[in-house]
Amino acid sequence: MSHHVFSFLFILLDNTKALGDPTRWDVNSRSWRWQTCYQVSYFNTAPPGGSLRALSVNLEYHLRQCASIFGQVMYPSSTAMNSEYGGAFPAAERVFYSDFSDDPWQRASVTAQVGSAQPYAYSVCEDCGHCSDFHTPSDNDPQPIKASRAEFEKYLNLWLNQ
Amino acid sequence: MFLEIGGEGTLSGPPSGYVATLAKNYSALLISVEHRYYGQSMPTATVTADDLKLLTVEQALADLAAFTDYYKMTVPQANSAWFVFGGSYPGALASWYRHAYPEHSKGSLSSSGVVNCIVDYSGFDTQVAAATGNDCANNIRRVQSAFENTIQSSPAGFSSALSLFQCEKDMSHEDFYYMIADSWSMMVQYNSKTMLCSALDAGISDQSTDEQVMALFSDLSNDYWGKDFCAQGFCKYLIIVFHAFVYIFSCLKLATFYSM
Repeated sequence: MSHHVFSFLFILLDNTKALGDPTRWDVNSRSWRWQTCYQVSYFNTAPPGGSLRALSVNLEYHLRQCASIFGQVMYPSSTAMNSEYGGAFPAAERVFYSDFSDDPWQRASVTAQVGSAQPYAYSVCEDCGHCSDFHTPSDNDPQPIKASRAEFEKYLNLWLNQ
Repeated sequence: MFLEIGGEGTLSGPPSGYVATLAKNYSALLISVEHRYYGQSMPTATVTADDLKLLTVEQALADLAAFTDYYKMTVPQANSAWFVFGGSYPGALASWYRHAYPEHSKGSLSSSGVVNCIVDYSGFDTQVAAATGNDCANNIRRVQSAFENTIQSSPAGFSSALSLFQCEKDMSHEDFYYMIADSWSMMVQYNSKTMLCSALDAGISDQSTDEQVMALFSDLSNDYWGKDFCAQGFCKYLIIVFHAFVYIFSCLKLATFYSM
C-alpha cells in the first residue's frame, strides 16, 4: 500500500505537468504509453551493475510517469501476460523466432529454441540490430541474416503444407 | 494469404521489405491490419484512461481473428492458407496470436519479437554494453558521467546540457538522462554500433574534459537523429522516443528505409 501512497505523492509533486495534458501528446505515443503502463511494460531501466545510463532511470521513475500521464496508479499486468502466453517460453506452436546480436531487445525475446514447433535463429554479426531480417533482401546482407531467412523459409514451406 | 500485423503506429502504406519480397515469390495476397488505437483506428475521440480500457493485447488479437473471418467471407481468394508476420511488438503479437487463435493461420514469423513482458527491463541497457564491448561501453559511461557531473554540479550546468540538445527547460533530470541513453542505445539498435563506437573512440581520451565529451556526444546525436530529437520539450521528446519505439516495433518503416 505504501507504494500506492508514494505514487499519488509523485502525481502531485511531478514538475513535468505537461505529461498529464493529453492535448500535448501525439495520440499514437499516448496509446503506446498506455499499453506499457497497463500491460506489456518493457521499461528500460538502469541495471544494478555496469549501467550505461544514470541509476536514477529506475522502475520507480517509469511508474511515476505512468501515474502522471494517466492520473492513476498503474502497474503493468506483465505477470498475467507471461503466464497466459508463456513469456520467454511461448505457449504457441509453429512460430519462427529471429533475433540479432546488436539488438538491445533480444533479452525480452526468446533466448533459445523453445521446441521443435518453435524454431529460433540467432544471428551474430556486426551492426545487426532490431528486425534485421525484415528489410528487403540484398546480396550484401551479412551471411547470418541470409541463413536466418533461409532457415525460416524452410519452415514456411513446411507449415504452409501442413 | 500473408498477414503483416500492425504495431504501435500509423500504417503508412502497404507492407514492404522482406515480407513484400516473400509475398511476390509465393504469389501471396499481402495485407496489413492497423492496430486499434493507432493511426486511423481510433474508436474514441479522446484518449483518457477510460477510453483506453479496450486497448489490450487480447483485443488486438481478437481484431486480427475477426478481420481474418471477415475477409474470408468477403474475398473468395482469402479462403486459402494464412501466414502471419510481425517484427518487435507485432513480433510478440505474431507469437501470441498463434496461441490464442491457432486455427486462424498456418504459422508465423516473430522477428525480434518481445514476447517476454519484463517490467524492470534492465537487460536492454546490459545488452547495449555487451554488444558494444568493454572499450566502447566505457566511453559511453564517460559520456554519461560527463553529463551527470555537469548536471549535478549546478542549475547552470543543467541548462548548458539542455541547450546542447536544444531541449525545453522544464525537463526533469531523469527525462534528460533517459533521452541521452536512448540516443546511444538506438544507434546500436539500428545497426550503427560501429559508427557510434568509432566516433567515441576517435574523440575521447584520458585528457578530455567533461565539456569536450558532452560536445562530442551532442554533436553526434544531433547529426544522427536531428536537432529536434529533444528540442520541442519533454512531450515532444516522448513522442520521438516512442516513435523510435515505433520504429523499433515497426520494422516496416525500417524496411522502407533500407530499400532506398
